[in-house]
Amino acid sequence: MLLAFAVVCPAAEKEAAPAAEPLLGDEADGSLAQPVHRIPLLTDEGDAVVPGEEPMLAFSMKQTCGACHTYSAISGGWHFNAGDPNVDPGRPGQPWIYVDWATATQVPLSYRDWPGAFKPEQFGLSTWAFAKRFGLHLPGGGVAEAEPDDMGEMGRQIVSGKIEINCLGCHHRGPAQDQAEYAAQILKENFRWASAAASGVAAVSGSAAKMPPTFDPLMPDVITDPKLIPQVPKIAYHAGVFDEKNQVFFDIVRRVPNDRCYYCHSSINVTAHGNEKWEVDEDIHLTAGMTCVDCHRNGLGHNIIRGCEGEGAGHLAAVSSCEGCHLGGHDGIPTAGRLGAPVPEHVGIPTVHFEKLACTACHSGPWPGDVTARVKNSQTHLLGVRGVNKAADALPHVEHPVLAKQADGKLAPHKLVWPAFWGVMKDGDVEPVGIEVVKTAVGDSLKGSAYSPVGSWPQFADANVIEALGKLGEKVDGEAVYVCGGKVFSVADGKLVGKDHKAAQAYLWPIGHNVRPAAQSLGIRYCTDCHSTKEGFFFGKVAISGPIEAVRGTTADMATFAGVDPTLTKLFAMSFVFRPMMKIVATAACGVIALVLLLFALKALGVVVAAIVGKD
Amino acid sequence: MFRTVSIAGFVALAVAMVVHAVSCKAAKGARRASTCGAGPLIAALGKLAGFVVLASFAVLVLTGFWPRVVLKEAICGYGLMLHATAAPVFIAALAALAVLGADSNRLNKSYLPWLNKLLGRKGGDGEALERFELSRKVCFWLILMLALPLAMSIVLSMLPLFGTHMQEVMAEVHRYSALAISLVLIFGMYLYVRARA
Repeated sequence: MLLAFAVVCPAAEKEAAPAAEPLLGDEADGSLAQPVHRIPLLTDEGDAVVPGEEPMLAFSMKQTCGACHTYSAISGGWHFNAGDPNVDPGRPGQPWIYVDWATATQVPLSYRDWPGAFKPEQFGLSTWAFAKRFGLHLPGGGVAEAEPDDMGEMGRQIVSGKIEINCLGCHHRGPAQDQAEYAAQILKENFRWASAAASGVAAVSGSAAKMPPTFDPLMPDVITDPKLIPQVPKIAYHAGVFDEKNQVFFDIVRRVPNDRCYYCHSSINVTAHGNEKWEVDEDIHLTAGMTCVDCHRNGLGHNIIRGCEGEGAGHLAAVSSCEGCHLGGHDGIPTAGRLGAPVPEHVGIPTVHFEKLACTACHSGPWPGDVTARVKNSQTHLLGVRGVNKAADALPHVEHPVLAKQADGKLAPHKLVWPAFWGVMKDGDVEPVGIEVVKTAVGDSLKGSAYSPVGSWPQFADANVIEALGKLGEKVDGEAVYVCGGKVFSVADGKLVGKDHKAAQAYLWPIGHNVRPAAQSLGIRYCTDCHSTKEGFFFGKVAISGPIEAVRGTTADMATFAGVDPTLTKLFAMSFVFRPMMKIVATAACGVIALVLLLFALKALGVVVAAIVGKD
Repeated sequence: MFRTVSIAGFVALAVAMVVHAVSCKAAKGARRASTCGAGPLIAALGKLAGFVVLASFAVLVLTGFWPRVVLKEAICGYGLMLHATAAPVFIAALAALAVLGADSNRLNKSYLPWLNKLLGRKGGDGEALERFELSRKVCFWLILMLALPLAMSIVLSMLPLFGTHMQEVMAEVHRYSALAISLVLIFGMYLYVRARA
């Protein structure tokens, strides 16, 4: 009955104002000034939060913000629509990376159809489990609000609440906005309370995760177990937060401050800098005074401009890419130089480079070295979360920069992760096996392996893996395999054998940031910044890592990912030794030819002059 | 555009050569005299330079026009490397040929009587003209003149002097001067072969 009700009426609670007519905040009036948000707080039932009421309830973003901004219009935006199969997935982006140390699993996940990324359900992750796992850096909405199919999970969602779109996570400029607190509340499954706790206007205690399935936040006093009473989720609004009209002031801004973006979108080159932020220069655009949202804009629909070339999201998207801002669009009216963007001259760069390379190839990410560097990202490594593992070698291992072709055929730097998971080979394809199934099947086979104290790869002995594959093979229909380091490992004649397979291919996503200053772009010195066998652009190595000895410490050639002929590339790079000589020879030869032409032209002129004056 | 112009140019050249061959069948000229008063070594060097020019020209034409005109793609890969290797050989040999052959290609005879009349000049010594002599000499000087933009457009584009727009201009200069020099050189070779026949 409950399930039928949930299927028929997915939004059982009171909805915000229907979208038949635009709400107060849906349309701008043209003023560039920022409206002041002194607003009543509404619970997820749509009731006003009044100080002194018992029990005090957390305010709902959907109801509070939704009173003036149509929530359904916003929830179709790029940050929230990953689970919508009707949305064009666009260019592959950063995946969620599912890590399980016990089974040495490291897989890129996405609800979008990005080639090489796996769907969460392939590893047994329901939307509820996904929200619990990755909600720390989820903006809310979308799959985080989805109704679970499993009755048990549905019950948990009733206890915890849904992870609504956390509007304040982006739009609240107030210095007390604490996304680390948001993450802490998500870890406790306090989904209903997380936004309020992070907003800085309230403190939340307790943990919904510890509550029984029958817990009702409207009647917290039904919990009588003295051990559970301290764990009952409670919210206490800070003194002085409410004014005389029971309204609360939020410093809401349309132009999201960089710090809000940084919580989910930070990355740091841990090979070069460890975790030391002070050693790292920001993206040159930010250093120049721009903000993230100067380029990554959106309207009410929150279809944020990603800023990549060829993004088919209208004229503003076209002029918000690298080329769009710096070189302008091609539809008549000049648009180059937007936001003060310098128009590049690219002196001395043959135009073929602009056909074969994306702007980011020369301008973004770290300078290519002999080997790729390890990078940590907010979403993949829980940066900004209290108590996070800060070790540089903590899983997942993400490498960069890797030169590879984008969908448009241009070479660009990418980040890369090598998938590692247990699977079953069927008809030539490898299907992942759920983590819990693996743990149950494999059991003690992997015990005794050397587990890393810093959270890096465990070191599996071949014998352990062979035993584990044997046990897994008894539970699955097909040949049990383990994928890692670009290879699929199976047992053949009692030995662990690794083979290439498309399921083991690395997942790559293009790097946009950090953009280096022009004086640090590739090619600024000479052609040999790239066209040299001593430089990493074409001739670097991509680090491979995994728990199996056969892949530990190995590398792959950058040329493989770039899709270039390594022999030709090497010969071409070596030919640059002769380039200065070629210029000198050609210039000297032209000089000789010019002198010959001049000499005989002067002689001819002499003949003409003589003829004119009558001296033949 | 360049592809179309190239195809039109080569087709026009082929037609012109056929028409010329048919219409100039009966014309004869004096046997070709020694090219200059220089010794056999210089003559041999001149022939060597000519041979090198032709050989490198063949490589350049093939590697330069085939991708653009036939495959409709930019020159790249091993073709580009061959092209870049043959180019300095071509221009160096052409410079040598310019020095060695300039004097023998002087326009110092009475090629155009009407021009003599216009300039009020006496005619030459009545020295017999070789077959297609004027045309061959004009081709020689045109090749030298076209070699300058051909080579310098590429050399200058390799220097950190010019931005993207000028790089495109210089690439176009290189393409069209390559087309022009190819047509002139091929026609010049045709005239040379016919003169020898």
